[in-house]
Amino acid sequence: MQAMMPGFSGAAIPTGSVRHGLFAARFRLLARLAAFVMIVAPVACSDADPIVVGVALGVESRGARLAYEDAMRNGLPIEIDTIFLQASDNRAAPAIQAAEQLVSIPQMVAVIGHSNSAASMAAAPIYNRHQIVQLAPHSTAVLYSEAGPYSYRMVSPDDRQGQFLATHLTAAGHGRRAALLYVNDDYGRSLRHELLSALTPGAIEWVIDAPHAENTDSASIARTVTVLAESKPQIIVWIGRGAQLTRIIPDIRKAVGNVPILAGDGVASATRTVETETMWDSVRYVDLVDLEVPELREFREHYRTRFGVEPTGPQVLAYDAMAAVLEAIRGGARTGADIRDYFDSFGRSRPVFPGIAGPVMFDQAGNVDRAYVLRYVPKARL
Amino acid sequence: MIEPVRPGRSSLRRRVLIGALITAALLVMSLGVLIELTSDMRGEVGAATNEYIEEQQIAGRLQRAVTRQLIAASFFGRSHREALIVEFRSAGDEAYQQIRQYLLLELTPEERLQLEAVKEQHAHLEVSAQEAFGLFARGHEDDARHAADAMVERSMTLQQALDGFLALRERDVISLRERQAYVFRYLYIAAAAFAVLLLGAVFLVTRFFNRRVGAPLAELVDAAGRIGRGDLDARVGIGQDDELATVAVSFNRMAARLAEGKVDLEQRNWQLREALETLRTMQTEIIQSEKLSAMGRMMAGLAHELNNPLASVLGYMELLSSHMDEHGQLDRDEIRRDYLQPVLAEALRARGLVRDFLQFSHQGAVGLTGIPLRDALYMVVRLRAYSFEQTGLTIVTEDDCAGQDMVLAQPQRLEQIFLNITNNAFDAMKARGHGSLRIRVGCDDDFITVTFEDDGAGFAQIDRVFEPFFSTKAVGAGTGLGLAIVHQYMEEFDGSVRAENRVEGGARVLLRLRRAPADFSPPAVEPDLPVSIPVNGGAQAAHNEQRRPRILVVEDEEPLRTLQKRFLTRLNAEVLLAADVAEAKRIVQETRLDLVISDVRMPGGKNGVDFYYWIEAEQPYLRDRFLFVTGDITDGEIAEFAERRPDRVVLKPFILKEYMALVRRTLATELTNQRID
Repeated sequence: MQAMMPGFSGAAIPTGSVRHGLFAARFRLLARLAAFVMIVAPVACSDADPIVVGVALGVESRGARLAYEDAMRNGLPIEIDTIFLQASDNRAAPAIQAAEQLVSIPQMVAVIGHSNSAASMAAAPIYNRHQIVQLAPHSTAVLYSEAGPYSYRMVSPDDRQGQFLATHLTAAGHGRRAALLYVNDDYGRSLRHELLSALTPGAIEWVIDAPHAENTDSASIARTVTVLAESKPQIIVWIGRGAQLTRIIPDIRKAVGNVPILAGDGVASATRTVETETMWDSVRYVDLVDLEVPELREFREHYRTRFGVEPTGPQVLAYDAMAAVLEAIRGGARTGADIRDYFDSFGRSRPVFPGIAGPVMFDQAGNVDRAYVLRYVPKARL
Repeated sequence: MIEPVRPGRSSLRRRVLIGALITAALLVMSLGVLIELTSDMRGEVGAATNEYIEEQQIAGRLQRAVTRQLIAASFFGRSHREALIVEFRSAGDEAYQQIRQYLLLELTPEERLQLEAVKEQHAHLEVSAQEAFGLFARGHEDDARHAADAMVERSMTLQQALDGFLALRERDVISLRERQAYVFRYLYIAAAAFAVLLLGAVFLVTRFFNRRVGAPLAELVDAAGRIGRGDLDARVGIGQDDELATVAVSFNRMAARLAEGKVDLEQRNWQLREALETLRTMQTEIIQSEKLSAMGRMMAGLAHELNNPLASVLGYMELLSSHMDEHGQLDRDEIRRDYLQPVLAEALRARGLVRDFLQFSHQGAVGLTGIPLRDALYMVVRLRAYSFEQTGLTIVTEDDCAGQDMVLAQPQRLEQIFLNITNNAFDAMKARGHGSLRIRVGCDDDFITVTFEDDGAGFAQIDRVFEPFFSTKAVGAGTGLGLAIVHQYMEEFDGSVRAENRVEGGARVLLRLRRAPADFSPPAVEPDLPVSIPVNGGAQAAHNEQRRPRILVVEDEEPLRTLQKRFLTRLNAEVLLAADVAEAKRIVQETRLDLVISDVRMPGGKNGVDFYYWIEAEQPYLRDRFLFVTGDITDGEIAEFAERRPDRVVLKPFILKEYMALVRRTLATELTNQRID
């Protein structure tokens, strides 16, 4: 069984102190001990409710959906429900609301999400408090490693991506004058920090080192472009989301022409319009999955058949994330703690999990060691 | 092994154990709940306080960082120095880190959302500031001011968001405090309820124990007390618990058996009492028989002893008569020396024998007194010496006490003791025709020991010698009570007796008699008075000449009556004689007297004691001027009188000096009352 919940912009947010709620719950628990014995115990003897797995992603949730459907076709040992929340907003606040909504569902054992580092980190304390495994497909912020024992991700943290970007930035031969445009959130600050740390001092002359806000207004875009034009960068480093780049790229092209743009993985799931298609020619971005390898050909075909479009790296990772969770449940895990233990056993007491994007084995911080690829935006994505 | 009372009855021990376990469990659970609640609340309050302090510090650092950013931005508008941008970024990193710290705290969704708003506003502030920096640096003053204005607006929004977040946190603390008060209020109520429950439990437990244990035990104690007081019908109820019910059943069985035993015992007691009564009768008879047997043997000795002086008296008096017939003229000194003094000596010897016999035969009360041991011992020796001598036996005495031999005893019974032991020795040795009885008197601090050793065959069954009616003598030769009486009397004297066989042969009997205390002094020995009393001469003679004492002698025996008259005449007294009580009363009523000397036993139904009572009533002035003359002070009222007033009794046969001394002493007393005419 699967269900799709509506958007949570109008969802009610629980009020009151969590600590107080805990205490009150304990107090009520003691007061209702007899009721528990008389009512809950007989219920416990009945058949257990189905395990629920939540998904809080944007368009990446297609990968998770496909993995669930494939698992259903192959058969599952127990009944598993899935809850898919449309969480395409990259901001922390909607992620918190989504997380609160998910943890309120009984038998929720794991959540695939969220769609970026800021959202994942905002929601992580909630999942950890409820001992629900959080598996972020493509959140790369370094701080996510400290989110808690129930927080995992399918990629490496930004320190490796920063090194990857620095290597390509200095080796590309575009010149030393570079403009750094980063989104001023956890993702942008983290990757910027790792990039600057990875560069040899003086290797790059930063003509602009400017933050931008997610969903910024047009006046701000205009001011950024004005400065960008006067700075005459030889290359633009974009550490932000694809959607934002989609909005600003026409102005960039007007101001500085076809200057190469080197982008982080936030662009991997960007969508383009027909009007801006030529503006993306010189854009290269970091992807977390090399979709061109033969091993993914069958999956790409399968995905295209199911959804009519090519999969993106995050979608592949979402597929593997759902598959890993279902594998843990298939292996006997019935609670968040069970799944956590199961994840920790990959590559140790159990074989690594054979994801389609590569083998999955979580380190002590819940990260997967995964290689990056630098991709051009393919025409196929139009 | 006591069997359970009946199946299905519950065990008190099990009930108590279960009750104790339940109570302990409830107490532990209740205490656990209280401790859990209080510790949780205490922990939460402590943690909240610490968090609140930490958050205040974070908020302070965050505000300071933002302030630094605003200051740097403000100055950059005027000087466009690169250092201000560095400062701005540094402060921005600090602010970001503080916000990150917030996010790592445990927050409510509302707080988390509010903090995300702070974070978002701060990001916007930085974006606006960075835009302003770039524009200022490139001379776009107007655009830069727009960006700066936006930055200021963002800073205000940021401050509002931060205030909103802090307000939420403050609300948390207030809420926690209210909840704490709420919970503690319920804790107090719970504690009070717990105390009430505990008191109730204590009351129920106490009531339970009182009903199940206390009351049955009290009933048991009461029943035991009743049984102890002789009420063997006392029974207890059977309770509900195994242990006490078993005890109750056992107790009731015991009481029933006691009742049965009591009835049986009473029957046996009655039978024993009858047997004892019979036995006592027989014992009295046998004792009397033994006494008679001993007396018979003693009478033989007494007769012999009396015959000897009587023979001497008769012989001397016949010789005197022949001498007077033959010589006519008599030499007074020759008569006194050769005839009268031997007669007097023999008469006194006879008198001593009679008195000893009377004293021995007197059955006095068991009143212990201090007496000289030697008196009783030598009296018996004297009594039995003749028999021993006649049989070829000897009695040897040794006295190591040098006169310090006052013992606590009753005189007649002490004599009986010595006589019985002496008789046993005699019987043991007489068949042999030789042997001796050695009597040794020894002293120590508290006791005087008398050891009798004979040369007889010894005791045949030494362990039965004090057993009444046990005798190894020939049938009719003994009653078997001799040593039994010795044992009985020695116990009465608080002394002891031990019998044993000597190694060299013969028997040994050891007596241990307790010394008399110092206050038991022997009777004072009357000083000897001169036999011859001058009739005229001295002050007494002068007094007598003034008025001769008038003395009435009441005696039915004419020779004694005449003898006393002759004695009293020697006092220059006017002697009036009466042969019976009636005549004596007449004389008393008609004549004022100075002294009455009366026999006790007289014909006519009235004796001297009656006469004395008459004197006390009719002529009390003579109450202290009355002397009894009697041959037997062991019988009836005269014995009591003699014990009370020994100085008013003259024993027959008397000698002159004793008689005269007593008369003189009596005449010396004042007349207490006048004569009643």
